[in-house]
Amino acid sequence: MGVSLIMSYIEPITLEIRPIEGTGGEKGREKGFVEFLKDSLEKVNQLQIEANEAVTAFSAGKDIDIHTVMIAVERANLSLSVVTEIRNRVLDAYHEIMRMVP
Amino acid sequence: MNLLNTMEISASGLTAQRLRLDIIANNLANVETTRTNDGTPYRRRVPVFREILDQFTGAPKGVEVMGIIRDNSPFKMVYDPGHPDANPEGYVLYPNVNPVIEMTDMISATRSYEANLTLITSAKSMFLKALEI
Repeated sequence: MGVSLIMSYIEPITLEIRPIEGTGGEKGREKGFVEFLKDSLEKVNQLQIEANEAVTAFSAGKDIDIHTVMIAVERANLSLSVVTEIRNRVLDAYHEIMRMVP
Repeated sequence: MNLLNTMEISASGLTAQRLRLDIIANNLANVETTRTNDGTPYRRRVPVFREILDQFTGAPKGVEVMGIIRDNSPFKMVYDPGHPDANPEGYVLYPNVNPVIEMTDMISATRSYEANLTLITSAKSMFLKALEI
């Protein structure tokens, strides 16, 4: 699950960045990034939900180890920081290009 | 191999050590148990661990508990004629649990748990460092 998760973050980027280098119009590029961001955020949200479920189960006294809970929370946090970081990078690049426009 | 994967491996180690601690707790709780369902005194339990390999790539994926076996070493014989479970000669069979061994195992389980935790921490800091590229 962990590997496929990160790969799924990385793959859309290379796919969506390609139009920027080519002749893709502004509209196509923006749509690509928005969709990528939406997809990634949905996956991160899924992890946050899983983490929440683990915390709830632990608080309810279910048979679940505390480290399982902490790792679920940590995984959600880390994937969120990956998405945030990638968003920042792509947005930086976008601003850089926008600055070229007189 | 990915850093979240590393965390999964360490998590399996944490689970294994937690189970080991449970078994030690059970051994210590039953240190004087002379009656069990099969009529003998309590036998010391020992966990058996096995490594997990990825079924496609053969890459290591952590540890799992293969089973909990019984220690077949002899029971302790104590002379105590007043005990209800004493044999005609006045000896009572006590479990083959040695509290000293259990305590050292307990320390070992705690330290192994800590080692796995430390690994998770460093995997996490590697992950965060990679984001700074």
